[in-house]
Amino acid sequence: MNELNKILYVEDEPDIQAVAKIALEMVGGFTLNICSSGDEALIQAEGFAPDLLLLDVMMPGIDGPTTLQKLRELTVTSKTPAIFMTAKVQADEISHYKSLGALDVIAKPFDPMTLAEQIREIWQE
Amino acid sequence: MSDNKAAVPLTQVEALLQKLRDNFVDELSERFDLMEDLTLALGQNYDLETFNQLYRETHSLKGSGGTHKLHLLSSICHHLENSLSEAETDFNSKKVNTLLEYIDLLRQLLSLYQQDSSQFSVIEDKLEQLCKIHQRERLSILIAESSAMMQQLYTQSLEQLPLQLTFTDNGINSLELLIQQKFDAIIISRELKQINGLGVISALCLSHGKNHKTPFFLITSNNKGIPEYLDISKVLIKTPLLFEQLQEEILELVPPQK
Repeated sequence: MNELNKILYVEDEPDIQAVAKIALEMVGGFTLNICSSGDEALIQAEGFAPDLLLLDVMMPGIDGPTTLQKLRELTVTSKTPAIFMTAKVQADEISHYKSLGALDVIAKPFDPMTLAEQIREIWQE
Repeated sequence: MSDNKAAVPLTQVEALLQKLRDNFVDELSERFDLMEDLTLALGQNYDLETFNQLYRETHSLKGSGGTHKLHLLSSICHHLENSLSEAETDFNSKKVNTLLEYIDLLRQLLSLYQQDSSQFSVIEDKLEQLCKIHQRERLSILIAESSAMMQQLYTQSLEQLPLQLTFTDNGINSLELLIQQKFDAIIISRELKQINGLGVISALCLSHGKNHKTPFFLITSNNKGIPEYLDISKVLIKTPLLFEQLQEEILELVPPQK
């Protein structure tokens, strides 16, 4: 797999965005593009060409899984690895998200000091 | 793997996270005011848009609170969210009072944050009382397990029981939660990341905190080398019978249905 540098992060909550920005840019050293909605992600994806998609599941408008489905229709993100983030970690739901093509699911709330490491571990698997 | 950008000193990161947390706390009073207004409006006249706005605000606070490690705030919002889900369209005066009680509890918690106090036990006790009065009685179980697959299996095997399951995947997060929140039982893997299961149990037994008498079920592949001084309710070995045995143990803790 290529090196992991650029993450397209889709999360509607500003508070969570701010913490994740610190976790992924300052702690993790990644280049982050934060989108507040699935629609915004579809616009940003082409120019940003991310290495990884990090998607909140529950969002107003189009949710995370639908956003991933639509990103897969774009050439630039048709094969980009994806990770979902959700507070709901029921067994059947995790299996479902993985069946949509996600590498894994990260539980919320996340630890800002270890989120980058979690993502790297998933990337390397 | 590239080195990406140079790492920022952790103290600087922690300072920034603290500043974000402080800003979040500063805005809480206004958010509680909004929730109260929406609740009162629903009591006057139910409409779906107002309900959705209240639900979203509660859900948002729950998520943001957890991200800022304000776990008690998140926990109160979780119960408030459950109350909203149970209410559906029935916002009689009793239901409105229930919701206002939770919001009042949030305000009391905010008061503690503003005083820089960590004396949360009064709030925790009140939350426990509110939950017992207003909700079906469910046992609160912490499951500390690093393996995602095992977490799925726990969920599958326990989902039919009247339980509220909370998951953590490492010892440090487990300790943080166990210090702040009272659980009815703890299912903990010996092989846990960062601090192992025995380390977590040991720390709690010695701390005399709110969970030092909570039943612990230690899950392990190997029952050798477990110190005798640790007050473990049951050591369960990872065999094909594990989940059946765990169900039986948890069932003994479930109160009889009224």
